Amino acid sequence: MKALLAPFLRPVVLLPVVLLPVVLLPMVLVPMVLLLGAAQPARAADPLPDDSLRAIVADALEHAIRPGFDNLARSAGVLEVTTGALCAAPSAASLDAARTAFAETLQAWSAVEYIRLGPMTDANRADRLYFWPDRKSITLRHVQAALAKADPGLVTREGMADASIALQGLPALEFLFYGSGAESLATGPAGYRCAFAAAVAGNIAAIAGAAAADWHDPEGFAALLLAPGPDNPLFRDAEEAAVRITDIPGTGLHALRDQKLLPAIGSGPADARPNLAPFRRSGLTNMALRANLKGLQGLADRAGIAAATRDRAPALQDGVDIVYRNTFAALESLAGPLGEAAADPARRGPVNYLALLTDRLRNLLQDQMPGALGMKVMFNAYDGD
Amino acid sequence: MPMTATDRRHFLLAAGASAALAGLSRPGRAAPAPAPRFAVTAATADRGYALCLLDAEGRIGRQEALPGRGHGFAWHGASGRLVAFARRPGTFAVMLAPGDGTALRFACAPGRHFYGHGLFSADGRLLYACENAYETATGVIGVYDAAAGFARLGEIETNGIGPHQVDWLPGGRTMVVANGGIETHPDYGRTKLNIATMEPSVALLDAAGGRILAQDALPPALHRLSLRHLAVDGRGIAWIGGQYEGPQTDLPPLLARFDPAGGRLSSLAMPPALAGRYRNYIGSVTASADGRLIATSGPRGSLATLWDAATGQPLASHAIEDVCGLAAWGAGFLATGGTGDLVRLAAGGATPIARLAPPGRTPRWDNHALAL
Repeated sequence: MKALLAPFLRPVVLLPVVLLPVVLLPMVLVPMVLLLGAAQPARAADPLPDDSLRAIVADALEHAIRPGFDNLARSAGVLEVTTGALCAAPSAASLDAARTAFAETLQAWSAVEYIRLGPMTDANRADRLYFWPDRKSITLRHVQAALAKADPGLVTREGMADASIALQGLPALEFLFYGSGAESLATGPAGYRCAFAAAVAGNIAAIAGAAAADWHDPEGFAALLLAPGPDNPLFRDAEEAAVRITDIPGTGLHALRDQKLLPAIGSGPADARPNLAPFRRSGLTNMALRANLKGLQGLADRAGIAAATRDRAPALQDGVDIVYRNTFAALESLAGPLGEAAADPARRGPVNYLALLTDRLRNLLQDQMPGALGMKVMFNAYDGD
Repeated sequence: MPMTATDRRHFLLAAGASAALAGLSRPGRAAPAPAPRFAVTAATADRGYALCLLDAEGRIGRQEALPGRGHGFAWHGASGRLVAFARRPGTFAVMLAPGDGTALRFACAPGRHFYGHGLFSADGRLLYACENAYETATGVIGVYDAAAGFARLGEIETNGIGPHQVDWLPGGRTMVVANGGIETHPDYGRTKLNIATMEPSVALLDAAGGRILAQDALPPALHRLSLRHLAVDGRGIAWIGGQYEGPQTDLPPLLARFDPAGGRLSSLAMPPALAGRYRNYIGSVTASADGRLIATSGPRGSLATLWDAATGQPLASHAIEDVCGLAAWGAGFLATGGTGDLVRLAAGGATPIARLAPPGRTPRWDNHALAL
């Protein structure tokens, strides 16, 4: 806890790899040749040709990642403006407008949440936008403490950027907009709570804007992804770059289950913990989960991963499509927010089905698809400890 | 998954039950089991996990099924006892005595899981295991009585989150432990819960008194370098390999050394081209039998490097697909790859020993290997 109460640690650029001269040492190269006969990578199918791998990366960037982060930045900009308007003229209508902007920002975020690459690894951006999981309700405690303290220094751009990460993003703003005392935002004059909300909204917009700009930076991470090769410091060949894209649907499904679904629903109604469901205060749990899944499915479609899978293993992609369809239907059929439905024996059925379907989907995407696409099975590299 | 009473009950596995090698032994080979030389954890062709004993030619002499994915080991040569630990957040350990064939499965305490590494006391009586007391995210070394069926006697706090690997300093009274700094909780699978605020460190523990004798951390700019695997060289210096959780375009120094005399931790510079090849991830660190060489492996970069322990200079690097496990072997090392490759590494070169299966057919060697 001490660590989390400490100010957010500013990122320190240690040594950007893009600035380094990239010369492989002979001692690295020589034995590589020596061992080629022994160390062919384990593949279940022929690898995709390089131009297909490069197309996956290029299409993912152009049609999913950049548009997705642009959409997030745009939504967050609207959120910042509407929150400012709320504080300038508190009313039920302006609170509604701010809440709508929050929901739209959350939807945009959820669509790109599992793209945890390059710009999203910089400056703890992903954690600052969405501190989760939050097993110990740190957001709640930090927000309540900050409201009680009412420090004017916190609700500035600088103060917010230095604050505990639990205060900086969507969960904190959700509490301010929907948690106990939120109704006061609709009745003027605007107080500390509104200034706090405006600072968080501004911070979200700043982080989202910086991430989107970085994805467009012609000399940034995207450029490295697009130009794999022996001189590239991060991606020595087309497959090493493409894997960073093709593994997103599977790792995303895995994270969604481990971090959002399973902790909240438990093994049965008595074991469910509705308070651990994400965005339960705003009632946006189900919407955010749906947007997560739509984002993962959309990335696979727009990057050509689904098409490549269909080409190599039509039945596998059929299976993926069917499970996605049923998963969306199961989400739709939930009678109420996920956490509440999970805790109610009468409403538990679709929750169990959702748990089963997402497990099947994770298996298809994470355990079966890489092999079908002829990707290397890197046991230690991708799941080490 | 919380443990049940049944899980916690110690139970004997039938000795020799693993004689049938689940299709992994070479067909038609009925020769007597060769002398085991190495222990390696593995994933098997039938989607299971196993502890494998290999001879010097890379042949599997014995394979013990594990109830889940294994990780690292503790070995006591004089009593001939080997323990393989579950990888986090697993709660099982398996003791195997290659000499007489006995096997015993045991578990850690409720509210604890193994991190996957441990060691025996010099006399073989006590077993120490790196564990997570996960409700409070407290790092502990669990202590087990080898003379009483590995009953758990208690624990020593490591003053940090995520103690991943532990080794003895010369003399076998003081242990050096790498607190990886990453908080996890079994309710959330393997999710890393505190990357933004992690505080890895290296600590010296007095095994008898359970006290922290010294502790140090790298500068704050390196707080997202999880210090995980370590080995002590012939001069008593601990070499620690890190896994970086910060921006992908950073290139932090991945190796650090801890000098017990001064109680200080310091980064070791790597030639930039070599550092880049590691993809910010060192999977294991092992000392040679004579303590003069250190080997590091980088599964993400498919690279293993031998280091001169005295000068801190890299001597040679070898490209091995998905390499992770490293065990001392003569003047050099055995390196194991997730592809099934076994490679002998010496400062002068690398020689493939065996590839036990065609691509896609396991065993795929898991993260760690050990010299028996």
